[in-house]
Amino acid sequence: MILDPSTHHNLRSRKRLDVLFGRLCQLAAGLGILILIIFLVKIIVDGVQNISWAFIVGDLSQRPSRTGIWPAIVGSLYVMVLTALFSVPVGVAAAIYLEEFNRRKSRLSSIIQLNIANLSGVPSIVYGLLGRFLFVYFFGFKTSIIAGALTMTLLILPTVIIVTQEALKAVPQSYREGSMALGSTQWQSIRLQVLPNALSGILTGIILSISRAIGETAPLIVVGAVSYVSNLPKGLGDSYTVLPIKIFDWANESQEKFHQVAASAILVLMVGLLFINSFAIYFRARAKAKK
Amino acid sequence: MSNKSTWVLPTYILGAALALVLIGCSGGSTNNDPATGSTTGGSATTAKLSGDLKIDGSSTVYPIVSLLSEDFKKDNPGVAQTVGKAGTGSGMKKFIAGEIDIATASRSIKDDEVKALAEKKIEFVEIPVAYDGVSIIVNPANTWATDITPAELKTAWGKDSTITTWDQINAKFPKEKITFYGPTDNHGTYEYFTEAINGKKNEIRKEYQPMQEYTPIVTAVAGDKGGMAFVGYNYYADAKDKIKALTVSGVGPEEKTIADGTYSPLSRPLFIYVNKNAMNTKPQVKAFVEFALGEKGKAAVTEAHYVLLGEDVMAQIKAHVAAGTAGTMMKDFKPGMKLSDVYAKK
Repeated sequence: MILDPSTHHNLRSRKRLDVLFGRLCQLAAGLGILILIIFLVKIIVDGVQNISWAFIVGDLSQRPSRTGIWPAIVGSLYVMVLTALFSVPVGVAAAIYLEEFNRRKSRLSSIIQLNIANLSGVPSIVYGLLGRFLFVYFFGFKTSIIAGALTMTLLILPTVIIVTQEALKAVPQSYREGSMALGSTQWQSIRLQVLPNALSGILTGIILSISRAIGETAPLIVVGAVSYVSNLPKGLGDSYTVLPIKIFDWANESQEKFHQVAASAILVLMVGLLFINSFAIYFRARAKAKK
Repeated sequence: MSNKSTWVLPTYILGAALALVLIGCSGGSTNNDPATGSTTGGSATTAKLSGDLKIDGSSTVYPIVSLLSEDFKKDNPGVAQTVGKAGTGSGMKKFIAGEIDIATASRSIKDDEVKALAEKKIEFVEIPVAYDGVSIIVNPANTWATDITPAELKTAWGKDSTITTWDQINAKFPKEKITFYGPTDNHGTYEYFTEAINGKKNEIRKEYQPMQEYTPIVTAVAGDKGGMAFVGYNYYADAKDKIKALTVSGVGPEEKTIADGTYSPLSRPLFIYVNKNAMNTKPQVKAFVEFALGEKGKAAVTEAHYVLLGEDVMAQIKAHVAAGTAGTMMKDFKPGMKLSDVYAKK
């Protein structure tokens, strides 16, 4: 087709189209970055003046000049760590089953697969309502950290499963065959050949999923995270608040000064998320270097 | 090839995560200690209270209770207090379910809520804490309207209202487009406004823009020349540079007019409802209620830009609480009535 001489005469117009398409793509990328930069500049201008050690380790307060965010940071950390502890083993195991042990792809497994894909697209508020019914009332966890973390686990589990599956799929089939040809069992070949090669992909996916859980507000409000805690949560049964909820609260306060505090809290949350995401980048880089 | 290294990384991450939690705990307690050390001096005589104290409900009352809770902590660092702002209705549900000790409300308790509490055998003590004046706000560029009557408000906000321009409210106003903003129906403010203006709770014109939070309402009116909205007094008081309030039958929302009831029918009391059993069995709940009824309570109300109850009503309320009287006094309360009259009737 391309070599057909009849298309030669419009070579110039095709080239022009080529340039145009490239420019459009550039514009799209530029727009995304521009919006991000505007957002960042605005947040930094508003928020940076409040950032201090006292702000980070201080107690929550209804007085904007005196408030800190430590209880919210601790609450977020609790939720993050627990969510990771619950979702990683279950999610990775489910993915290993679906990818490795379930090679025949029965109809049941394709239904499960379809459901997981659909669940990953369900709005987070729906998980909040589910968590409220299931964990807060049915299992009687009340409005505790554990109820929040379990709800977050449900929320990110489909994503964890899918990214893990993708990472497993990326491991060449020959690795498994080679390993099993040498006499290893399936579990041995998964443990010693497949998982090590898929690890960086799995970890990247998990870290990105968990950073999503940290940024969520709506489901946690529904499962009963509060706006003010006088003392830090001591155990898994305690009430808690998280950073995004405080940001939401402060952004809606009537006093202008609170809006700056909200910007500062956004900065703290963003730095935290960048820190976590940098791990993901590190793992990816390491995996590439290995190859 | 390196079997061991497979598990090294996840172990590190798990370890790091656990370490973070530990840091979180220890860092928190070291942070708490100096605070308590410096402030417990004030009330060395009171016994050390502990346990928990759970409060939830109105987002309108939240600033007052949150300030109170913060000050209460200075003398009682051992009490784990939580304050939520799920909304008056949602707070009442939690109160009925026995999940919280105190429900805050920007309207008085409803008959069906009283009934539900009775079924669960939960006795409650009702405490008015402050006045609020629902303020009618418009854009500063709105030069035509300065005053509005309740009847005109009903013309605008009533259930069957279809008006789209200001001149339909009052012929003196120009033919400017009007847009209606207000809180969503889970707000006590919404219920109070609809009852006071439209005569029936929760009846309102079909076309208006309901919002969950008040700050976006203020922002919307500040950017809309023909906009009109109703918000709590503190949202108006904190944004006087962006919006203006209409006087209602010649009286504007001010601390004085709200307190003495002349800003009528839109001045209203705010409440906390305390689980009586919790007050009797949990000393920290009782201590908090006493704290709220004292000088600190007044300071919190003023600081949160709400309006203090009069001294006479406060004395009546204190007597009411001291006697441990359960149930609501507000059953026959109608918008525009004064609290002192309600309590005097008893």
